[in-house]
Amino acid sequence: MPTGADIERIDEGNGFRPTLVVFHCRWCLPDSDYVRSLLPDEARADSVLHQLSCTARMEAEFAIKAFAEGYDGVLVLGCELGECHYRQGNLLAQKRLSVLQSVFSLSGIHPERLGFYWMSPFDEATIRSCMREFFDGVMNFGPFVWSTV
Amino acid sequence: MKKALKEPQKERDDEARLKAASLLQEGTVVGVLGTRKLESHLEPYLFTSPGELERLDSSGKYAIAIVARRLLQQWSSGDLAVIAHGCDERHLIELAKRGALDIDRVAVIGLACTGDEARECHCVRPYTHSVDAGVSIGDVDYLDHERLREMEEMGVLDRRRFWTQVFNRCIKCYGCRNACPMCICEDCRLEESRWVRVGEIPPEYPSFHLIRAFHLADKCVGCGSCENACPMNIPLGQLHQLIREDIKRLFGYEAGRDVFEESPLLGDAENGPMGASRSEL
Repeated sequence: MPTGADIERIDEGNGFRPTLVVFHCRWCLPDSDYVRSLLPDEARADSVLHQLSCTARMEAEFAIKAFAEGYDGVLVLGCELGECHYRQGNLLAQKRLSVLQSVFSLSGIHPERLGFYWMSPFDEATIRSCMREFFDGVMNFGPFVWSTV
Repeated sequence: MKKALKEPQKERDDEARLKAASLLQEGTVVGVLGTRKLESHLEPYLFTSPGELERLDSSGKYAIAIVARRLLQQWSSGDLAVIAHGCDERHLIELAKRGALDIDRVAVIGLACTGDEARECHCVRPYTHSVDAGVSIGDVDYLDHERLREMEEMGVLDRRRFWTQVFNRCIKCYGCRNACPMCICEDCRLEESRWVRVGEIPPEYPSFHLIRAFHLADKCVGCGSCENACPMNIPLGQLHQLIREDIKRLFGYEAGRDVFEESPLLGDAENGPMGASRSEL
């Protein structure tokens, strides 16, 4: 959770609602409408969803472009580790996304704005709580803006 | 004072000359690639006879691996010796690992950088695997480099303020990419209008620089060529050195250390990712 000076802008009562881009794996969560229905109520309308063939298809450019276009958070949802349809796809994705988080952190984007979770499609409660946790984190950081000079 | 600082480099040049001359006399290599002094600047040069070695000068920074790679591509046979700093050797190893260069055709004449040189480059490994010329000062902690420490201690928002300001100076000359020995993709993402807007400076945030930073994350050997090439003094080397440190922390991986060490960001059919063997998957 961000603290004190690290919060970008406090929008209390200003009605700030983060806009998210959600990438989900087709093998565990094939249906975008279903994924949307699991999002927190406040995020359901404004989020953009994309289905990927595997989270290993997730390129850094996808997340970078989302931030360049003014989205506030990028969420990646994939199969449980060890359960990848392509055996190692999500493990690779996990490593690449960790590196991307590091690039973000060093260049001035809170790494928590890029979330990734690996989970069972049958555990709806966990999916919902992961989404909520991510959404609340982004909410706390406020809108993503480059020009904070 | 300045003269006194130059002395160790003179000695190092002499040692490199001896080694280069002996390789040329043995006739095992077609030539020795290094840098030579030309009036006020350095140029890459292929020494083919011991007599030419007088003008050898290893004091400057030049990413010699770009030239080595091109030469080996042009030559159908024949080996090459390269007078290499630590970073040059890492380039050669990393290029070989990625299939861009045949390391068996390269003999390295290893240089150890002086403390001043290491400081100037924010280098953490200013030496080659086997040092033929100069005296190695050993590893340098990245936190001993003031600029790296300052950036490491900054909060995320301060970093954003910093990078917003410096990236704003970018004139999109692609100098960082062109000077980088590790930028070997035939089609560059930075030229695709899908990812980077065409015909606009400064490039949109944060696409241009972050795409480049991520692409090089597991390839960058920390030579600082990008930073040296930048006409707008954008301290790209600083960003890349810190990404390198993060990758060391995350995976214990260092680009350019060992030709048999696979990047953690690439799949490996034999041994699964995270070091898991095939049977465990």
